[in-house]
Amino acid sequence: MTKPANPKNQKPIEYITPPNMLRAKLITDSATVRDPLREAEKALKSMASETATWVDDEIERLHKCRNAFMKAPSDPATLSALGCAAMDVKGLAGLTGNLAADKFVTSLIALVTDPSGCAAKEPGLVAAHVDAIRATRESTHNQAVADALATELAGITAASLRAATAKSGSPKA
Amino acid sequence: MDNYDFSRLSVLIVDDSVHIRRLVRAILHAFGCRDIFDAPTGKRALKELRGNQIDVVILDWMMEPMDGIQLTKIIRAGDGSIPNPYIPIIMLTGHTTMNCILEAREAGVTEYLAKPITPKGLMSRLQMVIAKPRPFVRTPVFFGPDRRRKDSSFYTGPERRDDELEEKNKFELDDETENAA
Repeated sequence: MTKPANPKNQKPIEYITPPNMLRAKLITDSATVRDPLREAEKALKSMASETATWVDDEIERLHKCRNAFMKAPSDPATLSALGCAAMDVKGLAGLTGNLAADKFVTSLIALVTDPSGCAAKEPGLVAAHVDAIRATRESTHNQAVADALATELAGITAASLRAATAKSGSPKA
Repeated sequence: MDNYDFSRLSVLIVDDSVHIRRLVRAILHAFGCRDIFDAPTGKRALKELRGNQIDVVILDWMMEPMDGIQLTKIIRAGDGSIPNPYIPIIMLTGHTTMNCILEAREAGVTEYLAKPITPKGLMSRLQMVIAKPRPFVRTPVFFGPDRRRKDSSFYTGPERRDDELEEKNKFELDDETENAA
């Protein structure tokens, strides 16, 4: 139940509504405006070979970070670099349409950003994720198997995260 | 839905990954944007903000040494060196837990876009900041976009928002309610 406000405890809060200059600047009546979403999809399709190399580069960087992390799993710097690289792979995941790779990287991010430090305790699990992402990228012949593996690995990771959280008592961020 | 001429929009992309910057730039370019600036670090982003007329900032959370949360706080601090502390900030991130969203909101992020980056996701956030900008709130401990987005039309309790807001630009809120918000 909400207690009635005590005037003595009140703090001033300034509520500001700046004029919407952005809408005024951009709005147009022109009927010749193209469909921007369609244009963007078209542009990305036309850049497919270029964007494929971006994805390869980012996965390669992730793999290098994985190797550095495996040498020093307790070093926060290697974990942070791995987290950054995983986020960047995730950012480009929309370009690949590879659902299994997306699942692997989502599970990896949950693992490396876990506040109870699960990644440092289970470096093998981290390595398995990165290796799976790389393997899925290199061979897309059997998506069904990759999907099943991704689901399996995500399940193992979720169980490890629950156990680590229960042990440390810290809530999962 | 309104039609927008994105060729008039000026955007700053802040991300340490050159490929993410390229992807966002390619999408924005296809939308019609021509004034696109980018920065690989928070420090460089601040320089771009000081030297250019930027309408929207799109930034990554995980960057080093200054991350997106720290950069947002500096922009919102409005110490005079950043021309527009009200600038819309769209944060790109793979963090999708509620705690992370709350942390971003606490820092002053306007909209939150979960990775992977897609034209549809980016367009929806741009339309949000253009068509439905959040009002700003300044308290002794927070300055940034109003964190309340939910439609309160189903709320049947005593009115604590609109009536006061229409009458005056300042209102009082007790400590307890503020902490719970």
